[in-house]
Amino acid sequence: MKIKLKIIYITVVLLSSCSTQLVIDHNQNEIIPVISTPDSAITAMINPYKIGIDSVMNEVICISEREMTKGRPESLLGNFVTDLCLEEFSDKANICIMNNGGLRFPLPKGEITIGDIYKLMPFENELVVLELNGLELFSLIEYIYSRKGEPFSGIKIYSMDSCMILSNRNILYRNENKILMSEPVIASSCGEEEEVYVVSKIDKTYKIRILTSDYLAYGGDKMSFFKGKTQQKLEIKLRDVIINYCKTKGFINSSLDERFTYKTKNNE
Amino acid sequence: MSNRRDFIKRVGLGATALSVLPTNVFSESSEMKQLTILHTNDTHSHIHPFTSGRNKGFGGMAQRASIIKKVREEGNQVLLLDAGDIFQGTPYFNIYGGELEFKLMSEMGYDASTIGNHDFDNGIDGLVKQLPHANFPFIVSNYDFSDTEIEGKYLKYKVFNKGGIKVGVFGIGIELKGLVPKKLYRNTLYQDPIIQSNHYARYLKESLGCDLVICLSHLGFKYKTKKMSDKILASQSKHIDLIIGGHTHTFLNKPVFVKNLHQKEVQIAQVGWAGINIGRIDYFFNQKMCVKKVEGSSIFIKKQ
Repeated sequence: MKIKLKIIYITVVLLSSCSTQLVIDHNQNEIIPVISTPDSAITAMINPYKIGIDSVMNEVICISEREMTKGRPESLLGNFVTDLCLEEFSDKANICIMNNGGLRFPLPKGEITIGDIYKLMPFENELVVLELNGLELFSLIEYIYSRKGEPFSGIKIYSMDSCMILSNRNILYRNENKILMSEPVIASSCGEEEEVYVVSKIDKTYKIRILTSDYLAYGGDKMSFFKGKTQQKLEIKLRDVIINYCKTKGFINSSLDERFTYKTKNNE
Repeated sequence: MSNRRDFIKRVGLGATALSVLPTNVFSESSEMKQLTILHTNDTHSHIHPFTSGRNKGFGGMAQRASIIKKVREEGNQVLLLDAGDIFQGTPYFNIYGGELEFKLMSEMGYDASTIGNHDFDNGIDGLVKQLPHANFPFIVSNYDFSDTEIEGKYLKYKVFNKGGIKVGVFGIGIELKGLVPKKLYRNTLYQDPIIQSNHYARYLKESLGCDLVICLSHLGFKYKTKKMSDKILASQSKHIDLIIGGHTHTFLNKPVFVKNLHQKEVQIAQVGWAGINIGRIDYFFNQKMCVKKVEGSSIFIKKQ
């Protein structure tokens, strides 16, 4: 009864006042976590779209010869993703690097669906190209070494002690059929039996183009050597590059090729 | 006079009948008016709750709708707002372009949203194409869209009358250059957030007499650099009462207050992303009384 009278009172105030001005007295804040039973009307609206999404996600786009999982020092999944990206943009970059943590789900053996690629790469990351100088390239390789491996393509990094980049800044890496190296390096000490020759001195004047995701290019996953670098945006999502590749190839495969062998003197 | 009294009586009865008596409306003071603001930001096409990770079980638009419904059932005036980046994040956007997001938000009764950088992800034409699915306006005050397809299809500001409470809402978008490919935002011109905010906030408060001025912002809460943010905007503002922010996916679990140029506190709110949370802010207003005596005590409604 009391409450009711109050309501009437307010109504009267409103009606009889002269252009009422309201003044904020105070406010109360609350965060409501969204955890609740679903609203049935909204669920009914979602359902037809969900059926559509499921049918798209279930589309088989290629067959994988084997199961691909991520890992260190190298992995089937890491090699697959970085190799296909570099293949796709071989005219724009020399090296591709991604992060192991960003590969969110293994690819199964057999039929691969669009949904599988969404699980592998749920992020909207786009590909970018950055130019590093020789010293920054050292930082990148040191980074890969410090992480005991991250997915990359386009180079081969030997990490045995005699060639260890951290100790004496000697570096040996291979790009296609060429072997590039800094000076001085003794190829045999790296266990490399191929012919080795110096193509370029790796220093500040040396330039190399790196293909990566915009997330990493902005310094994500502590890739600080990318910070502040001019990005050439390729304006295509990493996920779409993978999907297009799978659709084009029909069959996909990957292998471990010892592009990065993480060894130390102790376990040799 | 008796006619007038009858009228008042009828209206009063109507109002009483209409309002599902909430438990807390008049508990503080019988003379206060209450407005409940509900807000989301950066929902990023998350139609379903998370099924894995640290947010497992949280979010979902059908779940959000349930909560909003419950709040509405309290019977207060509700203003439901979003601070942009409705698009991008799940296959629902990739495949349907944001159609479902807009339809569901319309169904939930959103009053307005601003435009986030990701809402340009299918280009301005991609956004314009989905506008017919939204029954709520998009408000942005610092993008000059005059040379784009969206011209005439968005608002610079809007005044909402919520049960006699006049709420002025304007919107501030983030600088798109370097963040969004030019081919997507085309000839959108970015205008200074501070200048535009001060212009529209003053207009809403002083010229249109709004009781509350809200800035829907997609600038981001704060940055380590001097990049324009909600914190900077608040400090340089004069007439904004509340900034509902987005972009940085910041979860402000406590209200943040920043002193404006008049040394008045401006509140900034932001609730993470992906529809994991809904922010709720209840404003209580005092009515500036007129000297004229009111007949409150003389009206009596019989007991039911």
